[in-house]
Amino acid sequence: MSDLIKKTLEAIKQKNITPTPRWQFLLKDSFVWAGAGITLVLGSLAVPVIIHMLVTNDWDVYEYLDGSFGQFILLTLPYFWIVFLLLFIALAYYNIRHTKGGYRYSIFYVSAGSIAVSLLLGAALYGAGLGQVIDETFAQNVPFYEEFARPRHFLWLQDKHGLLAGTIVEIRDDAHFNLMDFRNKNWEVSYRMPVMRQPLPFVQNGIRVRAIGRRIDDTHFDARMLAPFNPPLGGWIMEGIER
Amino acid sequence: MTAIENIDKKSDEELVALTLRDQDFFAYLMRRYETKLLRYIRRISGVSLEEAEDILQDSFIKIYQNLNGFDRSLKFSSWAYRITHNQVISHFRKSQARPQTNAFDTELLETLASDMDSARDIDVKLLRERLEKILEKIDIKYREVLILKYFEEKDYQEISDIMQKPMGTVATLLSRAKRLLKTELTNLNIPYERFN
Repeated sequence: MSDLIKKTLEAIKQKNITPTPRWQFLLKDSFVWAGAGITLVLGSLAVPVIIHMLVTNDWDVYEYLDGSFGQFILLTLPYFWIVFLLLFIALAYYNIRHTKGGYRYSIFYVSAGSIAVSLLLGAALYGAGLGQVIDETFAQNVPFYEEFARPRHFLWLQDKHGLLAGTIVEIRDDAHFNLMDFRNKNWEVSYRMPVMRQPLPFVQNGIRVRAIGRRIDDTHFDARMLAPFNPPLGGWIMEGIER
Repeated sequence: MTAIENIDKKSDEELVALTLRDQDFFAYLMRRYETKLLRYIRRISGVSLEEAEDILQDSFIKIYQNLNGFDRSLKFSSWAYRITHNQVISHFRKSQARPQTNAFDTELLETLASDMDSARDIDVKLLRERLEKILEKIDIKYREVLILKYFEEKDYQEISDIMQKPMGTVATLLSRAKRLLKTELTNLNIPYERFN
């Protein structure tokens, strides 16, 4: 027996070193797997919101914008939720990488697998109607979510490009109402809609509307088309024509 | 047949099971790996024999402490090399020093030299000296993969298990390590045909 082996055995005996119990390894491994599972499920919660935001995007409005369809997509992508999804996929990758044997899988396969699981689970959650629920829950409870994480709101804050949306706070007469936009700024909106439809059913206090038209000055907006903010597609009523 | 001969016939995995019942069997496991791991530590780190023995002792203690966590889907040798690899890295992190390569022996250098399709008229001694200088400059991750492949004669799966990297990454590291050697040889005007 070499000196090194003797010294090692003596050290083990003197320091009373014993093998760590098996259950501790199993528990640690279970925690890492649980962590990977939880991060995957959390990440997949972003998918129904992304689908919801894409489905309810204002696809009927891009033709009124100056830019191309590509620019419209870039402007309205749900970046917050995409970053959220990527962050949790990265966390899931980190956890899977630290499971026993996790090192054997390449970053490509682990990431592709995590994305596939998130998309499948997320699609099922969207089918269960969770996209809108999560989006609205965040909007009601998370500060600044409304302003920074909802791409439709960016789109409708472009008064200089003729796009305005917000909540009607006062009906002045059949051709004017006051609106508070998503930055809490007040506007006096004028509109001339088909006589047959007066008064417009959705022009009511507390209702969110969106308008396409022309900014007259810092507080006045001339609406040529009006629609309720929800649902986002269609519902436009414009000067003399209904779409 | 003596008791020691009986133990020598036992697999590593059987010795692990015996050690978990009786601490003294660990001596037989250590005896199997003492020389190999000591050589491995010196090759990848270039530390003195005394320092290498300290690292090995710590590695053996870690192996003993973690015996219940031994992943039976691996070879015991891969697992032991992995713990030793981690111990070397940890040793250098603690001392904040970069592993050196002054403990390379000529065997590795000749293995590497013969693995290359070098022009046969190169002075082998000169090539060996220059290779040694080149290896001193190479990052430990490239040096280690070269050592595991050509010196410890580990296959890709074993290297993957020791370094805890996917096999594709091991192949990439090995390919880059060879390319680094090739570039350095070119800079030193040493002719070669290609690397295998």
